[in-house]
Amino acid sequence: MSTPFRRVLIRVLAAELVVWALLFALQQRYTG
Amino acid sequence: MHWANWAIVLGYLTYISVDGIRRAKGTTKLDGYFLGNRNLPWWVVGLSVMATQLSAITMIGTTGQGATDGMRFVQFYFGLPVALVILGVTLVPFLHRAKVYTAYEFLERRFDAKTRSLTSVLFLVSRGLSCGTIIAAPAVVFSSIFGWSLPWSVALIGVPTVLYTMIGGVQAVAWTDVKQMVIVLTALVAMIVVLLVRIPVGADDALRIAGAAGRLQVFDFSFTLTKQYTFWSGIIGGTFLMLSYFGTDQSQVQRYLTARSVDEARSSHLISAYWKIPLQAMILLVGVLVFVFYVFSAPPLYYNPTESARMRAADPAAYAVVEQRYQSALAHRAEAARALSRTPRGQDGAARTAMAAGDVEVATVRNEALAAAAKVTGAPAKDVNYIIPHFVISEMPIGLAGIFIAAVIAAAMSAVAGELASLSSTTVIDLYRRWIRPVADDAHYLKVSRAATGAWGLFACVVATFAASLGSLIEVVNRFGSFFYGSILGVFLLAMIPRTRGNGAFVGLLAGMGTVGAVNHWAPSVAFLWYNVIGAVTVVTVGLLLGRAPREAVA
Repeated sequence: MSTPFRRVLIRVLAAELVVWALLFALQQRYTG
Repeated sequence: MHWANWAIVLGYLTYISVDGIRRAKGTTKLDGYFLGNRNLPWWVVGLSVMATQLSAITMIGTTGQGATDGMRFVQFYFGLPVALVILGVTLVPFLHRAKVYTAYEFLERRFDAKTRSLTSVLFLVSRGLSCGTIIAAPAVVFSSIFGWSLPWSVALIGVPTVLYTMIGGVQAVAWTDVKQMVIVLTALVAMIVVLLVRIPVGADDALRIAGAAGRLQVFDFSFTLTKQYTFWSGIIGGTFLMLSYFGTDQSQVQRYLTARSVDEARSSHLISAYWKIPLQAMILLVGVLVFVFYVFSAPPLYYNPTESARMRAADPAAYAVVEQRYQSALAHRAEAARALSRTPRGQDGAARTAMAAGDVEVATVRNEALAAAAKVTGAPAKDVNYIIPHFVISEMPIGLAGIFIAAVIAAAMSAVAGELASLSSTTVIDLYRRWIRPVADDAHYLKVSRAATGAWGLFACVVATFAASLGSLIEVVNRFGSFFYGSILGVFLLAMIPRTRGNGAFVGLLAGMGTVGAVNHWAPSVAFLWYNVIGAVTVVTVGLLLGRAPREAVA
């Protein structure tokens, strides 16, 4: 895996995890 | 609707048509018409990619789904960011450096003419008809709500789109897409603001009410092949679907071929990778807030005004009885919601249960009404697409309603324009230039390309006009589309594996489609997202096995 690709992949995955965490927090706060 | 709203819609349509047509300046050659001279900035390409996926169905159907089913649909997009990163290092550089006009052109260079022709014909059949349905969905809603004839509604969306795509080519499509994304985002933000102002409880209580009614349930971690939207179908099936859609569908590939360089093409995709899920979540949240609004403000029993009138006329006494039960259920639910908003968090278990029961009571009466409507109209009754337009027309302030209607038209136009440009490029490059007239000057091909765009536009408008009577045919075509989406991805994956051969790809493609068809026939409960995995894996497996055949090894 090349370094630029690895960097982009990590950034995109990190952003996706943040979005999931926010959606999960929304779900837990209001439906849990 | 107030004349000021119509003025906004007409002003927007005029502006976008003129803006698109003036882009024709740089399109004297085929490179300009189909690829924007490979000179479009990455952010224009990126926004255009997003706009093409965002159709009128997203604006009225997905928001409506948010109101009736909540946020769970967002899981459908969970595979998208990973798919776009994978494409950024695989197909995007492959196709961009190959200097092709279409994705399928590349398949002949790598495999053979029959594989290229089969994939391009599959694309044309499926996209040509789906282009009609993209126009039909909002046109049917408009004609029902505003009382227009269907051909007039179709023409309102179709004529300006065909005109600027025909004249301006992909440059017109991309630049108008940017403006269309702006108006779509403006309309969505305006709706959220209006809803938060109009809902009689605070934002936190509104979300508590939505949560109690199950509208904020996002994640479903159950691993089952039969549920449409789960975390796993989104991550696995969704990744394959997005790889296929963004990597091999000409309507998307054509867009990143217009970027200045491979890096800019990759960057354009990253806009979707970062923003697609938040955007879809916001669209669904609009629907959820509309649901909360209608908890406090009585909604109609059936949102489709034309069919509602037919139901009432067919059996006025029965309608009155259902209507009375509906009003009573709405009153119970509203009271439960008020009680929940007054109860402090932590002590609200009983209030939440009452709210959920109230919502079930309303849903039960509505389902009965929908079943009765189906008997009257003779077709399955669904009014999800009418919920948001009903809210916009009856509740949004003057001006903002016009912006929303313009945004729905904009979303339809951007999706249709992208499809028309890709249908035209595939028709001309993969069929006309390949099989009918291999040698001619650019002026000739440009003329044929404009004619092809116009012809596909006309075809889409005709399909849209007869969409209601073509209902079952369109369903068959959509189903047919899902049969080969994963399989086409499999062919492109094979193309990147050095030892594979043309016959392997062609037979693999047929085997992939056949396998998905068999699964659909003998295991119909398997959710369609998994078809993409099954199709792609079958093609690669069959292709690899045949790629080692001795006859081909000698050849």
